Amino acid sequence: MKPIEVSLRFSTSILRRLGEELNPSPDQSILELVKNSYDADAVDCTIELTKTDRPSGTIRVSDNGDGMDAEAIRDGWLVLGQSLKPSGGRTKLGRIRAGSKGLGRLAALRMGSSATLVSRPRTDPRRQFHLTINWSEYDEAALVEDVMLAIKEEPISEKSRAGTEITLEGLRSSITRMDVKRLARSLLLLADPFAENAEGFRPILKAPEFGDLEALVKNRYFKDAEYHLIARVDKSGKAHASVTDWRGEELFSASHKDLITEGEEEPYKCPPAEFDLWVFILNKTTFDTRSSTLHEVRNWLQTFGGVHLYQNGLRVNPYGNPGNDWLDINLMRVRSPEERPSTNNSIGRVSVIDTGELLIQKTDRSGFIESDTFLEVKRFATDALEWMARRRMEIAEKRRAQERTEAPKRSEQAKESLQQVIEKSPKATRESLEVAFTKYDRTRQQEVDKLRKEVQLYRTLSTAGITAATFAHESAGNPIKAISLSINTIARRAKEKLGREYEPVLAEPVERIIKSTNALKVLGNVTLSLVDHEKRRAGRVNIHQVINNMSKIFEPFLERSKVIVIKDFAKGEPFLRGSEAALESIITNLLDNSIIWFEGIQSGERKVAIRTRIEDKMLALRFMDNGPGIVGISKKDIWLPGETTRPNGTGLGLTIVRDAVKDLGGDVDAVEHGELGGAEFVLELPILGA
Amino acid sequence: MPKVFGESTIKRVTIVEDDPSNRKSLAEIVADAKFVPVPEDGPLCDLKSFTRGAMRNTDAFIFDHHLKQSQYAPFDGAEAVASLYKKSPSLLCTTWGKAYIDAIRVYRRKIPILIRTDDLNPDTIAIGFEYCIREFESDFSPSRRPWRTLVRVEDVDEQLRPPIFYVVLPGWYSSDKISLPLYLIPSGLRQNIKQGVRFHAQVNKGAENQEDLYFDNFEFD
Repeated sequence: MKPIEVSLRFSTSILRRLGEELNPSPDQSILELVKNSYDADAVDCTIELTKTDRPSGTIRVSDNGDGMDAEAIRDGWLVLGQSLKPSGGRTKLGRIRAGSKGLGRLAALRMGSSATLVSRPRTDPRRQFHLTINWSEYDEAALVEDVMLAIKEEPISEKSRAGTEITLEGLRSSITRMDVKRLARSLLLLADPFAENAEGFRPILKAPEFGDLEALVKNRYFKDAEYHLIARVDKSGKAHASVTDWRGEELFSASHKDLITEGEEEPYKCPPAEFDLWVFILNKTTFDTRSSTLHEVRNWLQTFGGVHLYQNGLRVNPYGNPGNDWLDINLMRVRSPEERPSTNNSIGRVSVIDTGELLIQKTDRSGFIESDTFLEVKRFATDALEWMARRRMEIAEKRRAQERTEAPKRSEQAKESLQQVIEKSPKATRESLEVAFTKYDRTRQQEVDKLRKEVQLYRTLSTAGITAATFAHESAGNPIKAISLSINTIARRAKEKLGREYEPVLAEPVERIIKSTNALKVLGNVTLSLVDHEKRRAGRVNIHQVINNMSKIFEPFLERSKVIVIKDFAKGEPFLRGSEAALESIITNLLDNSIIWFEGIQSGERKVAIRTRIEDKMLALRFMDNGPGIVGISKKDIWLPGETTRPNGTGLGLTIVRDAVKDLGGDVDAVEHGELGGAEFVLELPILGA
Repeated sequence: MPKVFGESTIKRVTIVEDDPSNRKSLAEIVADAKFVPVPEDGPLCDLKSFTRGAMRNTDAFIFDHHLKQSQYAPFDGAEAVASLYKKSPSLLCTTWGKAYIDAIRVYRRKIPILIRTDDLNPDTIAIGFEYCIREFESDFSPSRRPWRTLVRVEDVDEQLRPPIFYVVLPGWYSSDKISLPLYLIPSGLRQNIKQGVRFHAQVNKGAENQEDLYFDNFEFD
């Protein structure tokens, strides 16, 4: 028996569903029709909206492009899901086609109750083709193929120009003012209006909103930008970048190696791309010397700002739309605000020449599929932004250094002018003013001197810390490792050669070397663990755990000094928000302080007690010892930097304790002779829970 | 004490260590383990050419991790050991350090044995090679066997250099937060790493220490 031949058929409801689901917004649907005009090499494309502020209005999109004949309409325009883009090559005007697959077009055509196409092919300008789709016929039919469409040919005069006109009548819903504004913005941005050599495609929307925006987009305020970042990635994936000032003069430049933040010289795996970003400093002082006003530029940036993404010369929605911060520019600014652009004060575009179609847009036109290629484009742009931020920080640092040298000069000038004012004041008050001013000036000078010393001391200690960390790092890798490995070999070989003789002759000195080497390793580990960068990051800090860790680390030193640490902890695991480094600094400095002062106590047991109690939302931490207590210095002076009663002491330990406690939002006080007889420090730290 | 890998018996062991004293010390331990030490004096060329050449003369390797500092080699020990996975038994030795753990972790899946300098002796070297050979033949030790494991991202800090993310393995010691460098994740998948995200990966859940955990074959929903 002959088989029954069948094929898949589509219900007409699929058209409705596709039309609805692929229509992200009216402006994006209309833009699909405009992109068809671009692909047809049109120079002009006019969009007319008639009575669209209510349902049943009309939209007309007409262009002067190549047009289509009956075959092109039948085999291309009417085929859904098939790309209109011929494989390879560019259009006669050199455009790379946007290559709509017809689904976006379907969404647009379904906006009205009927869609009419009139097209005049450039190849045969005496003919005009006409086609109307009445969607109501589909609503009544069961299958898509049941509705027959007719392409009518109409003769026209030779003077008519080639092109295509699409009319959507009986709109199903109204188009709001916001939609019109969005459409106007999308149309203006579609063909990269920022490029020096735009593709010569001019879509025009006949609506009042368009005129205002068009005037705005024509105002190119790029010259008023403070910085212009120019980054390029070539075919081989190698990138370079530069930043110029508002005069176009190069401030800094980067090679591929300078830009990449990961991997070694790894190329970007994306098509050639260009990234331009203009960053503005929106304050009155900057604009005093510019031709445009702050208000104008702010308004312009508000409308067109953001980083737009262009693929083969056409903008891809929604990158750079208000609220779309695909490069996380604002997020990066929140994390480190200094010298970073935001989407409010910058405008830019990433332009990708993607002839190989490596970047693929999602069917509903809500952006690119987040493929590796797309992420690489993003990585390139983000790396360029990061690099610019680093260079700008460098400038800011230089500026600060200059300010530091200029500040004393300015202060001296201010002082002189104040003295002049005092001299001119009435004699009766002049004398008392002079006395008061001299007194003030002296106190201020003392404060400046003290601060200067404090900074110097911190700087010296930081250097000592860095050097200690380097030593710790180096010694662990080389000398200590060499001692460790060699002593083990000596022991092993000696045991083999000497047999029973080993124990009485060598065991003890070998054991001594091993023990001392281990002590050295501990020293190194302590130093390195203190400089671990993760510890400086604010987060949840378990207080008991930090105290336990620090006393464990200090064990060898405590043991050597014969100090016993008694811990008496509150129930639970109290935690606070802050940096582990801050709490470590507190415990380290207090322990260190006790160990040092115990040197003065040569007999009896040496004890340190650490007690915690939870009171409401606070943790009371008492740190006490049975040392000599606070003697030879006033209690209030122990916190001052550089104040010490010990020769060669830095006088910084307790200053750091005070500052670190303040950083954690707490308070600290001292008792000269506390519960154990020695110094006692009472800390109150705000906790989040236990 | 010869070990057998494939058709060959381990006799000669190449020693790759940038510090001459330490190289000598390692050679002594290797000799005490009854292997023939072949110390590499360096400087070494690129990784591929070096391992290809060395594999012709020797049967196994011991690498120190830190090799670049003194211009001894243009690669790290971890990278080298991983490149020799299933080709030649290789041990990586290192003094622990937080920064190195991150760098080593990227290759950890293919580093069967990581020995602390303190634990290096003729016995651990011989046993180490034996474990390598077994793992090459898919006979994993319990601490090295890969399991498909649920991983939860607790936090991400992209401000750190390199950026770090913190994970918890509910199937492991669940309260322990493990910090991992973001570059551990292949670049195409990195955007998935966000606070609260769960994903699956091959993890050696039998490992006792955080340092020994490896992560491989990431699967995001």
